[in-house]
Amino acid sequence: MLTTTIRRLCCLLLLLLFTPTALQAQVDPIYQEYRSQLEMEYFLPFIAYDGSFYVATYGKMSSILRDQELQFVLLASGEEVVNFALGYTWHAPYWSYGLNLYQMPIYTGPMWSAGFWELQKGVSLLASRHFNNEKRLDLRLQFEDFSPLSLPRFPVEKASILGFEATATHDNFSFLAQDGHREYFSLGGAFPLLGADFKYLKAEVDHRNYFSLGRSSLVLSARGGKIWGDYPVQRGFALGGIQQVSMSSLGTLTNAGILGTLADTVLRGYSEYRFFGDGFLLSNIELRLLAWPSSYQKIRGTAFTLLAFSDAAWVWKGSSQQTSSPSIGVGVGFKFYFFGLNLGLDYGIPLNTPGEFPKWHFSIGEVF
Amino acid sequence: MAKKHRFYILRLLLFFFILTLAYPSYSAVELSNTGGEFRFGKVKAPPRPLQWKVLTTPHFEIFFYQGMEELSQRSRIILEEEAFDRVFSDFRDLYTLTPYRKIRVILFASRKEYQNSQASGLSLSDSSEGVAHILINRLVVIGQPTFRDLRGVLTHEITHLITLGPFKGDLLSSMTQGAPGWIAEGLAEYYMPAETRFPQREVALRDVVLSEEVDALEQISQVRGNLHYAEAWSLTDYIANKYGQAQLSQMLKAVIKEGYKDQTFKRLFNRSLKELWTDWRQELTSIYQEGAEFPSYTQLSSPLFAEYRDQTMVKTTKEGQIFFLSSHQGRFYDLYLAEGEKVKRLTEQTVSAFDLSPDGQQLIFLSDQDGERKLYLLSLESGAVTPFAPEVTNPVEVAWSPQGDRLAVTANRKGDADLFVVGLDGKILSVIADSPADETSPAWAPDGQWVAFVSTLQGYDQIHLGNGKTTRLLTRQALHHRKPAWSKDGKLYCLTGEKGYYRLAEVDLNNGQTSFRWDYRETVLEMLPQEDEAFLVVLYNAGRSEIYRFQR
Repeated sequence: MLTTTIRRLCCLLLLLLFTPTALQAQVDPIYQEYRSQLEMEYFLPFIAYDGSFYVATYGKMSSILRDQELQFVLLASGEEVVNFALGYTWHAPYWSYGLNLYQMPIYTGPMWSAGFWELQKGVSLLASRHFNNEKRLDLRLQFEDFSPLSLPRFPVEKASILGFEATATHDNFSFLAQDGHREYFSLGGAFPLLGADFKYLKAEVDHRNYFSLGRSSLVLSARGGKIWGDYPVQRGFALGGIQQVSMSSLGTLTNAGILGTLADTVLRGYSEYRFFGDGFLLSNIELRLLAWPSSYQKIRGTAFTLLAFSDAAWVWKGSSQQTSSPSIGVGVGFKFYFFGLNLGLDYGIPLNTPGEFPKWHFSIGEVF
Repeated sequence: MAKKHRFYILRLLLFFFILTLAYPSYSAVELSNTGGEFRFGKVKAPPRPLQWKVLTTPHFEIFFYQGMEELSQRSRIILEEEAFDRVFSDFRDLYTLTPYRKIRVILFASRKEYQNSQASGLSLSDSSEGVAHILINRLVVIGQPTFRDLRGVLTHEITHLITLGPFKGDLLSSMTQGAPGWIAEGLAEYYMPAETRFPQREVALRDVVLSEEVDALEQISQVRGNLHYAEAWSLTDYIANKYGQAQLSQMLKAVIKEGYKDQTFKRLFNRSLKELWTDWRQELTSIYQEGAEFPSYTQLSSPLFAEYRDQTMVKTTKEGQIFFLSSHQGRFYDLYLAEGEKVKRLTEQTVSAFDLSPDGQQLIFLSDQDGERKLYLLSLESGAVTPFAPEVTNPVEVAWSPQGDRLAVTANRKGDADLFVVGLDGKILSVIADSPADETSPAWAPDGQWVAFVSTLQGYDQIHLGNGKTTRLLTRQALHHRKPAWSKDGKLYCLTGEKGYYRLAEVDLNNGQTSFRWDYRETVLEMLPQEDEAFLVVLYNAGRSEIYRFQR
């Protein structure tokens, strides 16, 4: 009897011991929640030493889903010159946020022409709301201190700026169909807080329409901008030649569309930086003919386009008009499309501005 | 002085360093990427918030989000029980010094979410089904509409990581130029189960073999489309067959360590690269001979809409309107309506399948615009789009019954494609087929009594008939039978063939025997019977898929 009882107790004990384990095995969470954390992705060092350290490094950390990213650049020679940039991005549902810290010598202007050299130090906060693939709202708050470097062709002030900008963008242009339109409206400004030197308000608008005519396409563009108040001269509007802010200058993104900067402008037939001002209107008409291949749909890496254009611009500085009424350039050119990269060469003839002569203009990337 | 020179040299180096960084990111300074860096350009916009989870297995970490629990389990089975052993066993030697690290697999429910993820790192117009990031041991994959496709894509992508992963130290330190594209992609395609390779790739290969335009190795290594994938696979397959499968691992290792040069291949195979290519090219001619004797239809006729690329899924109304999908805008796909010469776009969102109501007043289409695959009704009169939510989730195909009262919906509810009949109120009326295999391509018989569909049997796609009560296997020949379609007078047609050559054929409803109705050399990708033995056919020719009118 006792033995039986002991056996039963043992069985019960075994049951108690093993049952939870068996149950546990069944209810164990098979899945775990994903918690985003940064891991090192790349680190590319270049370090030399000859009594002093010379360093050029690039590193990137990211989370597995890349919902967080941290990138950094360090460029240093000895203790005297230490330049760096650090950027952190967080992609949340619908919104992306960015933080940048930097101290870097920056060139603004076409690589093949003279522009501005300046040392920029600053911090920027960014937020982007993506409504869909074609519409977004970008917000920016930025503090920047800048000073001239070496011998610039154009004067750069030494000052600081605290600014904001809000830009609404719509882009449904299809390269393959050569159809759609692109437009943005931007409102920004600067305030003399935290020791910053400027106070102004800036508005920019840009609208481009693309019409497919089979093998040909017609592009109409209208752009304008106005700054009210005191602004740094190198952040005003500049027209003349092909000013590809977003393509040709390393410093674009510290000031791309921010704090009153140079908008992308195309006024062919005129020298780079021919007109400076605090207000401008610009219109472009360009007729393109795809010479090879026979259709945009057949492009498999390379293409060749011929074009004819007419550009017209008005630039004001205060109440003084800098251009003729308007300054017009006409001409022809071609574009070579090479695996996503557009290389362009245009020949522009200025029509009604004394002292200007026909010019060639080279461009990289989608001018408009 | 020397130090000053070094200083200037360093500054020059730094300048080019910045330039290098600046070119791809367009900035050396602003390194956070919110998507709003550029004035213009389309941005990634996730269609809904995702709650991510991770499933850990012995060799993988599988990341997925809400609604993909079943898919993650099917992926686990594919990866652990099939794909890993298939690939790893041949490349085990590469892991003697480098330990195997768990591969991270990130699954997305739809193309829309995949393209809009930062994880894929791809552009919005990218049309890949998955991407492997060798250096960080991660792959990102779209949850495929069918189990077969999922097997193929997962196997393809983990092959990249298993084969190239051990060499990432070499790749990072730039000690090697790495493996050329044809070897990297050839291996990935080779290890996919044969039935999971996208059929259109071999179609493209056959096309260039017949036109004697097989790419050189340098072109294949660009891997810019179906053709290059097929060529890479075919050459790898040739090497494995002729020199032994074990040589693939040796070839990869030798190319990365010793360099991609004639000497390496001479040592391995006693053939230079050119000789290897020539041997393979000669064999191709013998493999892809079928149909070569026929005339070319594309030389006799012109495509209906030459300006529109990647045409697929053609439908017509009694009034002569033609509907089709195309990636004309760079999106996969937009829905177009052609009335005579005039073609207009009907949708502003991705469309992957559609069908017309019998009265031609509306159509139902499938889109993953909101993240998940969903059905929508489009009124052709008003243009209004309204969601249609059947009881079955994750629909992948749809066919409207000839009577207009029911829909046949292919849906992937448990990791494979099954076939249901639903009413116009969305309720399930019957289940045509829901085996663990895929059942796809539903086509209603004119009387609405039967649905023809495709399911794989012993490695070949075969046509079945089902009515919700019984299922009947129709075709049995050792060939693929795909894309069934009925004519108004009750004749059943399909596309049949193999090795990249598919022909229009009529199916005998009594014994399942097929009679060819296409005696031209081009492969037919799709067909739609019209009146009087006429058809609209989508033909593959010189890299293009275009609609032609065809009458016997």
